[in-house]
Amino acid sequence: MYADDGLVVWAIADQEHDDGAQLRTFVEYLGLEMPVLWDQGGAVHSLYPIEQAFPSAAYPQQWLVGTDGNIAYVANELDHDALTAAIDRELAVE
Amino acid sequence: MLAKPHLCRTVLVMFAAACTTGGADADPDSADPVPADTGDDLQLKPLPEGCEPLDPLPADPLTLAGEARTTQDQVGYLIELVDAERFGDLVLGVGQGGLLVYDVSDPAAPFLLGKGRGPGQDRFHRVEVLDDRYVAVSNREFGVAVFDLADPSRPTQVWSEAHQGWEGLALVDGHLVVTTHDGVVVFDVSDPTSPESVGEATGLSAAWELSAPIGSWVYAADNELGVVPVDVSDPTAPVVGVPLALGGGVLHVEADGDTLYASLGGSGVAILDAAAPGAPVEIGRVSTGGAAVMSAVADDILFVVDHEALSAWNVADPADPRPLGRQQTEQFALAVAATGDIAWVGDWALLGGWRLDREASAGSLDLPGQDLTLGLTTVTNRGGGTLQLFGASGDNITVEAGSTLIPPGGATSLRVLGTGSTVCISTNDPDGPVFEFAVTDAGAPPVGTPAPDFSLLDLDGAEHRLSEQLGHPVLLVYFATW
Repeated sequence: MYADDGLVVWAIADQEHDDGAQLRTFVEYLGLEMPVLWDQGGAVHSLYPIEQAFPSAAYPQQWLVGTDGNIAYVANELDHDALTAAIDRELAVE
Repeated sequence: MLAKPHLCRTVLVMFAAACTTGGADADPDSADPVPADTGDDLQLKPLPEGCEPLDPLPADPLTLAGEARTTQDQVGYLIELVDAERFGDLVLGVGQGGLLVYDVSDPAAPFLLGKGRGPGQDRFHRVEVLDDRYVAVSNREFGVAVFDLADPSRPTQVWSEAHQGWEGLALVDGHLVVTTHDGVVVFDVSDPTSPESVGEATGLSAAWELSAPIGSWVYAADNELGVVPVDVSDPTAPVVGVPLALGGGVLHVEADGDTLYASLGGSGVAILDAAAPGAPVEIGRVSTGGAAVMSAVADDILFVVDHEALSAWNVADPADPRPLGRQQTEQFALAVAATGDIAWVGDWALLGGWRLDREASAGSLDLPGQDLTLGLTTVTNRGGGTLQLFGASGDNITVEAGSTLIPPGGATSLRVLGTGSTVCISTNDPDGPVFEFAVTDAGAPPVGTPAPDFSLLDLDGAEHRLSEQLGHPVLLVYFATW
């Protein structure tokens, strides 16, 4: 619902899977429509070290990058209200 | 309890080596871990060089009795055991493979006996035993179904009703209560092959699951409201009572006697006294480290799963829970069902049976992540015995500790210094006793700092570079398929 407002959403798949077919099946199962990026070598994982940001290291993790290119919001539990508030703040800036 | 960190901080300056938060003078039996002081006035001492294990080790309170590993061929490409109930010598799980029936008559060799799927339904979220033959399952997209387990190797669907948002299940006096996201609907299941809707109510907000009944009351785990009592004394007119907010989402509620155990997405398990069933009150809390997902109680033992680990607590006095043991599981601990001293844990693609030895007592090392970060870190003892840190060893790495003796539920600070990339720490935790860690640099980029740029290909081969999106907010959702 935010896509028309300028929000870009990327799903980044855990690098531990080297089986592209399994990832594809999973994505099709979930019916994901956003681009699904495959962090095959773990490069992004090392840039965004989720285990250190969150004690439980649980998925899914959400990182919101603001319009200024700075990190605006980080979470690893889906807190719908907090996430939408952060997105709304960024869209207001835009 | 609240004042103790400050007391300890003061004491720390004078007797650094002797003080650990929650230490000997600070209620050693406390089940409520206190964050270690991370102030600059910490006086830390280097751990002795070396990683020799202690011999003999204390007995491990939680040991693997047996496990069943589900393969892709058996179930599908993705399995998650998100609910589990015990049914005679069977453990019922649900998840991506549908209804999964495990035979655990020999706990050392559990195996997948049968699985049930309905038309178009290869995944269920919840399961509830109706009687010695029928079970109800739910899927929040498809609705509710009843399976006949007369032949448990071939579960057969005998009834279903499609409805979006139906999920939580509880059996109350011949009636099945189902959460409808914003309320409940009640079915008469005196004939489980043809349930009849008899009543409904609204008043819930984001209900995940229902507890087993206390009298005619069940308790909704509501992700927004907290724990919500629902009176089903008149099944044709259920009444949603006053919510008890617990400072965060509630994922599951376990009922045992007059006591409720509410798994909190943020902060462990809240223990509630429901002697007045319409107005439960919090009497205690246990902290598990991660987000508590589900709990199960059997014979005064509370088992909790928190994504990472299974933990066991003595709740003979629910107001004073005592830690007994903690065991990190192999995959992703999401569900637990307890039978006597065995906890059956739905651990993603594994069903693991963990046996509790009530006489054993050992410390259990818990760090915030899988790696050690340079700088200050808090180490927590989540076991029932004292955790001892004996030594550490790594090329160009030293580890300092605020204390080498950490009481049950206590915590202390570690400081990791140097330029090396790995380190070992030796302890008296029988799950180790020597733990190897990768050493990583200072953590995640904090909010407000530039997002590191990257470029990745999507599954269609198109390149996406973060910096090219400057001017648009970008939501990165990092997920795993396992």
